[in-house]
This record gives sequence, C-alpha cells and structure tokens, in this order.
Amino acid sequence: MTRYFFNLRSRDKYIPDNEGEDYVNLVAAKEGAVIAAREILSELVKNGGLIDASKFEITDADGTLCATIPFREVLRFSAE
Amino acid sequence: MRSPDILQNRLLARISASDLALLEGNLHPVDLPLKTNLEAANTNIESCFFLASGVASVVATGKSGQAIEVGLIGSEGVTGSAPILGSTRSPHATFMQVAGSGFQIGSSHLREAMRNSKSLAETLTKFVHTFMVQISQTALVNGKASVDERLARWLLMAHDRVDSPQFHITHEFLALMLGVRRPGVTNALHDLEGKGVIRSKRNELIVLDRRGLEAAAGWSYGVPEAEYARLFGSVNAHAAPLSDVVGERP
Repeated sequence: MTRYFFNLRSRDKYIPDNEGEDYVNLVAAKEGAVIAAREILSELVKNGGLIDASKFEITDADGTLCATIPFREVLRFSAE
Repeated sequence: MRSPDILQNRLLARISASDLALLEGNLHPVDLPLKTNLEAANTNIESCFFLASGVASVVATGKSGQAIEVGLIGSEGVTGSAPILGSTRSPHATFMQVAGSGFQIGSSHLREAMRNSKSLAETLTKFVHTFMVQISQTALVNGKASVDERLARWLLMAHDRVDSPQFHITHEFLALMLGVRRPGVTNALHDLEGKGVIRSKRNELIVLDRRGLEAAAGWSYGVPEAEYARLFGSVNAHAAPLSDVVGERP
C-alpha cells in the first residue's frame, strides 16, 4: 500500500491534504480521486455553488507530484 | 486512567438512589480508547456502556461494505439499545470515535435490573426513544441537507459530548461519519475554517465559534437535542454541572 495525498487546487485557493489515504497503486488512487471529484462537484451543482475547485494534485509521502486530475475531465456528457 | 465518576453520566446521575443501587454492584469503570469496539454487528451484545466521557458511534453497514454513522452517544446516554429493548444483537456496529471512559455493565444484569424496577426501565427506554429521534433526524439531514450543513451538525453533536472545545478526529473518520469521500470532508472543513468557526489541524479539530457553527448547521441541528432536553435536560456537557442540576437524588 502507498499513501497518496489529494491536494485540491483552484484558481485562488489551495487545500493541502495533510492526512492522505492508502491505495494499492497510483491507478487505484487516481480512481479514488475521480470519485471524490465527482462527489465534490455534485454537491456544488446541487447547491448552486460556484465550481471553483479545478483539480486534484496527487502527491506521495515525499511531496512528489504523481498525477493531476482536472475536475472537468471527471464529468461525462453525451454528444449533442 | 482517572476513574470516571458515576455523576458524569447523565442517566446514572438522574436515576433514583434505589435504581442506582440495583446497578451499582455490576457497573465497572472502564477506559475506552479510540476505536474500542463496544458492539460488533450481528453478534451477541455482552455489555452496555454508560459513557462518562468520549463519543461512541453507531454505524450501519451495507451488504457490500458500505458504512455510515447513524447515531452517536456520549455521557448523555448508554449504548446497547438492542438489549435495552429486548434483543440480544443488532446489525449495527458501535465503537469509540472520540476516546473516553465509562461504566460497563453486563447486558443480562441491566435487563434484570430493568425487570426489577419500572422507573429504571422507563428511564432507559425513554433514552432509547431520544436516540431513535436522533437517528431519524440523521436520516432526514442525510437526505435533505448539504455536506457543509451535515458536517457542522456533526461537529456540534460531538462538541456537545466532549469536555473541551478541541478533540481528536481524522478526516477519514469524519468521511465515514458523513458517508462521503475523505476529500469532500477536507473541502467542507476548509469552508468552515474560512468562516472562522473552527480550526482544523492534522487529527484535531477546535471549535472556535459555537454560535457560528450553529448558524452553519442551520435547520439540520437541534431537534433530537430538544427532545432529549424535554425528557432529561441538556445534552451539552458544557452546561451546568450535574451536581448543581440534580441536587439530592429522589
């Protein structure tokens, strides 16, 4: 298991993840981040909030950036 | 550990001297560290716990491992709704989510005392009623309130049950409590911090502005607390010391 940190980055705020979460590998961590991003977005949509969160920056215990999950990419729309 | 005082539990502080005498020989002071399992799902519930401090969490689990907190109990109450109501087990699990202490009593001893005293049975079943109201309100807010409101409600309910404005809790635990992913909790805590009502440090939360937190919780907080207050007095551990409120035992 590896501990990954999901730091939330937006245009004018940065929320560091000080706690982290264990995943078997980076692929699993990215899947977790996608689900979490959808959940945060759905809450904002439901309450009519401004969608200001823009991406998760996934880091490891050393603080190395492992992956970026842009929130726009977690939404699925059908073709018009 | 510092031995807990009977008076720290609001139910034990309130019952008559004769009802307390029925229990006293079987009440054992216990230290209750974080994550202590008080009840396992679908397993015989050997003991009930009258908490003196700390917070116990009752968690419902789904068939595929989904879990969400359905209720919490502190020094205002007792665990073991199932044995109090006459069942030996429950599909829920109960564990300590803020460390504390309390009094352990064998479920069979508690049941026997309830059979011997109508007033004790009434007190305990009335408490279970208030706990059911709490669970019902949790269902309501899970369906109708925002994550920010639910988080504020949860923090108020925990704050009611701890002695100090700060307590140890991880975002991972809060995520389980609220049935959301951990980053959703981190995000919501950041919103509350922005309002200046709490400070969130690693594994620790500090309530800075109780009224501000109540405003953030809005309608989602208060109904079970009012029901408890109607029957037993304030849930809030910061309210007047019980020795002042209770005075002489009836």
